Amino acid sequence: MSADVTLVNLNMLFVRYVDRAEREIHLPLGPLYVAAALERAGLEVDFRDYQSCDARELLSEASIGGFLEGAADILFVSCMANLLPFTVLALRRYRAANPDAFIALGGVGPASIERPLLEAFPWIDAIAVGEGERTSVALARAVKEARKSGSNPIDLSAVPGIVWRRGGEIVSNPRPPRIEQLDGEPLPAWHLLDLSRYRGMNMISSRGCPYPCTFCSVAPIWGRRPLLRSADSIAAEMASLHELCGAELFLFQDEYFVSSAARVKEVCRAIRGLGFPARWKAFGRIDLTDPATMQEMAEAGCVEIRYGVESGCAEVLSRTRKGFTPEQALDVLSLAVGIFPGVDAFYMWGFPFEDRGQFQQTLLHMIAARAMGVRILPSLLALLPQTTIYEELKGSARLEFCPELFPEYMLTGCEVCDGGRMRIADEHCEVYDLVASHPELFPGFFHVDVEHNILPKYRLLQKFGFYSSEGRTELLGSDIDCCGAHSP
Amino acid sequence: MRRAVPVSELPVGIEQLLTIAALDAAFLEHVAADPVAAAAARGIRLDEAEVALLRNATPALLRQMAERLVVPKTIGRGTFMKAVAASIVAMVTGKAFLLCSGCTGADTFESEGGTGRQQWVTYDGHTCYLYVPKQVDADASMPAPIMVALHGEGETCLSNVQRWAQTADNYGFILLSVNWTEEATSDAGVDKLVQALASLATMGLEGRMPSGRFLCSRGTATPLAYRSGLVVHPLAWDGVVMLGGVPDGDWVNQPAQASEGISDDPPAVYYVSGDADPDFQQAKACVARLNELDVVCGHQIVSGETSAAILEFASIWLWLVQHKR
Repeated sequence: MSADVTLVNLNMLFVRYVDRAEREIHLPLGPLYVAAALERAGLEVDFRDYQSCDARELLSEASIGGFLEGAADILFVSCMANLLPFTVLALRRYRAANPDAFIALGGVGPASIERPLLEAFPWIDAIAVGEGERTSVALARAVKEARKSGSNPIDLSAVPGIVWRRGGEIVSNPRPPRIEQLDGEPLPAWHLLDLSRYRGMNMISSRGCPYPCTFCSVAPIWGRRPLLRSADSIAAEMASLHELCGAELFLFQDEYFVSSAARVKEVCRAIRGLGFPARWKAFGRIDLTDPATMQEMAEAGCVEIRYGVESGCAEVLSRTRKGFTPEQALDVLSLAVGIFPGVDAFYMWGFPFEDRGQFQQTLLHMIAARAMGVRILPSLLALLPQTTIYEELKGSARLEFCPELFPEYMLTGCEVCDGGRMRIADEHCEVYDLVASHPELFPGFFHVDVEHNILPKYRLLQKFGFYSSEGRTELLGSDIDCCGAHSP
Repeated sequence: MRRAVPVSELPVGIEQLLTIAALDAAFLEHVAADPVAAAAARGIRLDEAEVALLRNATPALLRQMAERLVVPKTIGRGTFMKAVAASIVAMVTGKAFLLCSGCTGADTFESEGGTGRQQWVTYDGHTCYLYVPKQVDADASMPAPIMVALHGEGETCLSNVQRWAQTADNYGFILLSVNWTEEATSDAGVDKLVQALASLATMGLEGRMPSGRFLCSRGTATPLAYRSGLVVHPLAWDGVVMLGGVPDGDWVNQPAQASEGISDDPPAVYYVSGDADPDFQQAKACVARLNELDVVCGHQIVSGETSAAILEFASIWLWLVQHKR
């Protein structure tokens, strides 16, 4: 193997049903940006996207083992919280077979729990914190140099943005500064993929979000400080993708696309000037999308807008610091339905502080929005470790593991979704045994008060068709498409 | 054998309530003041969970929900329509009529609604949605073909407009989409509707005689179309389109019995079925039987379920015109 680094994408959504498995293959943007930075630094990258692995039983020891075969001796792996347990176990096996490999984790999965992860799983050498472009280059170079010079142990103290193992000690290096000029970064390294396998082309127009929503894991990772790409750079990326693979549908996955009316207008202008009929989907924000902005977006080819409404109860919205009211949400959704071909709304449920009456308000809001033509995407609260809500609950609330019910974002592909319940096949028990024994590392899989908080709400949502239930798979206004990301 | 019409178990009373309130200002006030009593006054069934939700809502919120409700003009989002098909209402002569109930889905529409004149009308006591293309509307003295259409479960009269409007615009025919929800609840109602369909086709619309009469059904309306078009009033029709569904009877095991009563002189039939439709074998057997009986029958088999197929309605129309009696 001649590559300097093997970079593995394990960010994926894989939902297994009794009779089929559904895989959404998204462009792995984060790892592709990292790959581009590594290549620009002169490092050779062996890029592997596990989404494209054709193994029938994807989440098995044999499949991931085979997939990692022949990797470079510097292995970088990126994953989200849902596949963190599987990733950890896979890397343990990889370490056993490759004792000299250097193994580093990155992505949002390990974010904010880097130190306890390294303490619990000694086969991982380092975890990258924050943006990967700078850190990955410095880390790869440091390890490569150390290997070349025969230094052992490797000294990584000069590598910014990592938590790493120095002997028996775990060390956190200072983060590098945020990348201020996103336009100056290379575009994702698409040439490392077979783009024909990816239907909608993921993009981001910004990094970070300034809003303090307490359940969100994204804004804290970026320090609630958004940085935006220029309209021309966004359009140039779309044009490149169009030229490379004929792409005409683009999925903006960043939370802060509608940062301001002026900026949206500028982006729409650039998109309209592309010279081909681009269609795109983006996230909106209830208090940032006025009718003129929405109209502008639709005229520039936006075919779907997705809002995080989260609750129909003013007290819950206030407590979660959403920054708008249920009435505002109804107004905007109603307008949006008349403008966009598709309007989606996320509603979050399972807040431990949300009483029955408050939940009923949300349910009624969902029903009213559905009657307008909005597609409803219910999301069970995921207590991700980066979130304020988890910080507030940690230590005071008892986290309960319910193997029959996971938040949408935490589906791993090891569960079988069967008529509104989940079952875990015997061959995947190891993953869940690991989860159950580490609530502090994998809190996203856990709930607060399953019996009184979660299940009664779940049953009501099933009753009104927002989730399937035993003997009835009919859903009203909702598909399984609730992983957060836009789908083609 | 009459195929049972499955009715959704999902509570849709709130959607019905809000939708009627969206169209009727006086009713909206009633809903805001006492939604449960308002529902009872209109015969809308609410289950206990719905009552709890409504009792927990403020009048202002209920008012806003109804006022902001956009009664959909188009129905391209299948999943949405599954949700609200049961609750779509329209104001006809000052009264709100529930148009649909139940859910199975609709074929994927290839286009948005057309540019012609659209309005709710009543003919012979039946609530219908009329679509008249611009060029047809421009000359009321000219005869034009008419397509009488029956929506499927989970759809509304507007579904037929979504389905046919562009073709109607291009080829100049009038579309009359008939609400048949209430009629479907009893055998007597179905008999009455079958009688009415032929009258609707032959009576002429707005003083204009039809130059061709076609009948279209979707899904669960197919037994009705078959009965009207091939059994009871075959001479009233120049062609029949059946988009999914199967005429009543066991066509696989008892084809002779199923086809009993078929006319000696039936119109041509264009039949679309999906190879993943639950009654696909019945549909195939039905086509085989029609062929045996020398009925001119075009059978389009689509991959997957009919409800998910993208159909070319222009081709279907041209086939009908070509095989018109």
